[in-house]
Order: sequence, then C-alpha cells, then structure tokens
Amino acid sequence: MIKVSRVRIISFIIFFIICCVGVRSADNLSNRVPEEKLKLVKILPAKEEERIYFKLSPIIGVDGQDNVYAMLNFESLIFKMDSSGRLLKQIGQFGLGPGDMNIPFLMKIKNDRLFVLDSIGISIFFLDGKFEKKFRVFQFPRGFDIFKDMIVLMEFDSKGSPPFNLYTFDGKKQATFGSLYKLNYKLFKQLDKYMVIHTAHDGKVLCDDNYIYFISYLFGEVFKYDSKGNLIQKKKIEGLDETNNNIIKLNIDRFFISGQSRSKPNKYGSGTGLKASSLFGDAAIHGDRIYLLPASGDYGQILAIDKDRFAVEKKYTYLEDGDSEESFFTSVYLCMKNDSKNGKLSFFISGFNKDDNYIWWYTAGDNVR
Amino acid sequence: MNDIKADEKKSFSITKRYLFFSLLFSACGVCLLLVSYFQYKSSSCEKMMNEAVREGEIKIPAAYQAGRWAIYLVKNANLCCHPLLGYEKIKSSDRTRVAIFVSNDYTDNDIENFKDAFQVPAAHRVARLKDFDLMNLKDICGYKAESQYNILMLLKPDSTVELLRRF
Repeated sequence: MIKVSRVRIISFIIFFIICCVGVRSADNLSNRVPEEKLKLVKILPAKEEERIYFKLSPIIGVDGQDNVYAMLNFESLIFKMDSSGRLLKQIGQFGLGPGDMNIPFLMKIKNDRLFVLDSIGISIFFLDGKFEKKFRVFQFPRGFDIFKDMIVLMEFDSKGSPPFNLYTFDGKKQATFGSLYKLNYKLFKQLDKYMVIHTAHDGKVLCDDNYIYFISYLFGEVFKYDSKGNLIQKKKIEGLDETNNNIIKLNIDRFFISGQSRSKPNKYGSGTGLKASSLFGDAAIHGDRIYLLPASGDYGQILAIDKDRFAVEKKYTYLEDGDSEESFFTSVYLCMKNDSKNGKLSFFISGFNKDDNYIWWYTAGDNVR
Repeated sequence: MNDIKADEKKSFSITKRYLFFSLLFSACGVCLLLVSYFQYKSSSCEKMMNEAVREGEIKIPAAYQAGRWAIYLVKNANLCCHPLLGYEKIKSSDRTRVAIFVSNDYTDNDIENFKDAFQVPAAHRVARLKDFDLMNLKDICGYKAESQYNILMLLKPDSTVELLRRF
C-alpha cells in the first residue's frame, strides 16, 4: 500500500516537473524574436573609386536618391557618393569659416538639407553641398535631430538645466524641456562634472513626425517626449540579452550607487578616467520602429524595437560567413532608408573589417512599414 | 668576499645617486627656464602694450579710462571646452566692468545664445569685434584675425594693461 502511494507521489512529481518544463519552453517559443539575415547589396566606396578613402569608420547618411554621405570627423569633410559608390562631391573642409567644419561628429539628412554638428555649432548645407547657414552652440552638445522645422539639440550646462533645446534653423532658441538622469556628483571624485553628465547621457536623440526620443546607450532606456516637450513615456527596452542586462546593471552601479573616482590613464596615456560601457554603437528611426546597433551582447545584429512598447520585435543579422565578431570594431554607424526601387528596407552600416573601413549596404525582406 | 661585494654595491649606488640627482637638477632647471621664458613672454607683451600706450601709439579710449576693465576678445568659446577665462570671478566683482567682443560672424541669435549660456549680465557689453576700438593691440601681441585664440585683457583705471592672456 505504502509502495503504491510512493509510486503515485513520485510519478506526480515527475509529471509536475514535465509540465513546468513544457510551460517554460512554450513560453520561450512564444517570446522568441524572429530573426532575419540581411542580404548584402554592395560595399562602398566602389573599388575603382580612388578619390575616397576612409581613415576611420565614417558617420553615414542617405538621401532619397540613394546617394550616400560619409563624414570623416578628423578630416572635417563629407564624401557624397552615388548609389554605386562613385564620388559625386566632397563637402566641407577643416576651418572656422562659412561651410567649414571643425571636427564634426554628427550628421542628419532631412528636409532636403544636410545638418552637421561640429565643435563650433550646427552647419546646414543643401544636398548639392552648397553651404546655407550656421549657428553656434555654446553648451556641451550630446546629440541632435530634426523635429518638424526645428532642430532638437541635446546639450548640457553645469547647472543641470533641461537638456533639450529647440532651435530654428537660424539658431533662435524656441523652447527648452526635458529632464534626464539626476546624478550625485559627490560619487565622482576628481572627475570633471561636464564629463560625468555627458558620459551618463551617452545615447541618441531621434525624432519622427510626432515625438522626440532619447535612447540611453548606458541604461537601455527610451525617453519619449511629445511636441510640447512633455515626457509621455520612459521605459526600459524589453528583450535585451543577458550580456546587455549585465552591462546595464554595471552602469547603474557606476553612475548611481558606487560612483567612480579618477582612474589612471590607459596604456596610451589617454582616457577620461570615467568608466562606462555602451550597449549600442548607433541607433536610427524608420517607420514604426527604432533600430539599434548593439556594441556588445547581440553583436553582429540589428535590433528592431517597437516605438510604443520599446520591445525587441525583430533581429537582423549582418555578419557574413567567415566574419567574426572580432573582425568588426565597435565604432560602427547605422543608417536606414527604403530602397527607392523596390521599397525594401535598406541598412547602411559603416565600420572596420579585416583591412579597411567600408560602408556595407544591406537589404531586408521587409517592405515599407 | 662579502665586503668586496658590499663595496661594489655601495660605489655603484653612489654613482647612480649622482646620476639621479644631476638628472633631477637639470630637469628642474629646464622647467624653471621654460616657466621664466613664458612669464617673460607674457609680461613682455603687457610691457610692450604699456610702453605703446605711454608713447601714444595706442590710445585707450576715454570709455575704458574710468574704472577697471576686463575685455574679452572671443573667437570661439563654449562652456565645456573653451570657457571664458576667469569670467565667473570677474562677474562677481562689482568694481570690474566687462566688455566682450565676439567674432564678426556671430549672428544676433549666436550673441543671444552666448549671453544665455554664459549668463552674461545686462551690464556687460557684448558686441562684435569690428566694434572693438583697441584693435591695434593685435599688431603688438600677435593676435591675428585667423587665429583661434581668445584673449582676456585687464585694464587698470590708469589705462595700463594689468594682464593680457590668451586662452
């Protein structure tokens, strides 16, 4: 009798375990994010184009005619290429005058204009390379995008003023809004306050027709503001892998719990002394999604997140056979558009692979969303 | 045997010590020379300015003869990397009047944004460099139009140049 009841208990336990495992795997299956391997269209610049050479991974942009713009920040110039990778025009040069650039570090193409943020301010060019206007920036800029007919510039001062400033294209400040991470500067010994606030807000400003987004590269969060500057959503990105979640925990500890003190310079004698690990190398907005280019964890992939739920909806892989994670540097930039011929989603990624810096043009099966 | 080894060690360490101290002294000497050279260079500029004022080569306009003045010539300034030298301190001093001359290519919006960023009080004059009435100082102190440097000049009430710094 006892033996029978023991057998029953054991079989019940086994059944229970099987049920648990089954539910769990079913749950995993339902949460599985669809993946797609991107198809390589071409590598830019064209092999026979000897006038273009990327000393570093260029910051990239694409216009409606499939022309690709590659900006080299140390050389302070932009190569405008056609879709075959042939040089159409060289825009800008190092300097302080009109049309010159001074270590540019961000570029946007919108409203048939090319917007360039450098260490002096924002320069606006027509797409044929003709200089239009420039205004100066006096705070510490982090990023910018074009929102309707305005420039949203994320910049910091030492007083902790709201970080987003809306400027007209003439540089007239129209509005100030937003509040991001509140830092306790006592946790950062011997570290420059500007450097701390700037590093803690490593991320990207993106705009669509209705909203302004800030994607935090350190804490994996998205801030969403409406056109009046009201914060309407702040949420952690769902569906990041374990490596990324561990990086987020580490960054939270470094910036909000333990803090940091000035560390020794690295072996090259440089470095801010501030430790921070970025989750993403770049981000882009297109259609209903925000696309993230991981710098760690999901490396070799592009994560597509929903613009409302901020959950990973799809993963695109771009590493070719024989490419290893090590063959790419993390300084890669992403740019998106719909192919003008077939409406398919196109991805432009710049980076270093094996021997040189290139721009890879990939296409996905997705049509315009 | 051990004594010989100890002696060798001792003599070697004495030579090493001499070498170390001589290197240290020569490094200090080079540092001192460099410091005095730069001090001489900066003070010579101020001296030359004052001589030029005394000899009438430079005429300090009457507007700058009343009180102590801080004059900034700004090519490129921002809060993070090129702050205005000593501006916070000068701002808090009631006795120092301030005039800031920015590059001629600053638009009206740039000047407004500049004032906003640096919290320039209404009493401080901000104008373009073309309105600066002491422009001939550039010939004396090598302040060239194409250089990226900013300049701070402190004028005493007796129209002598107290300080002239590039930043």
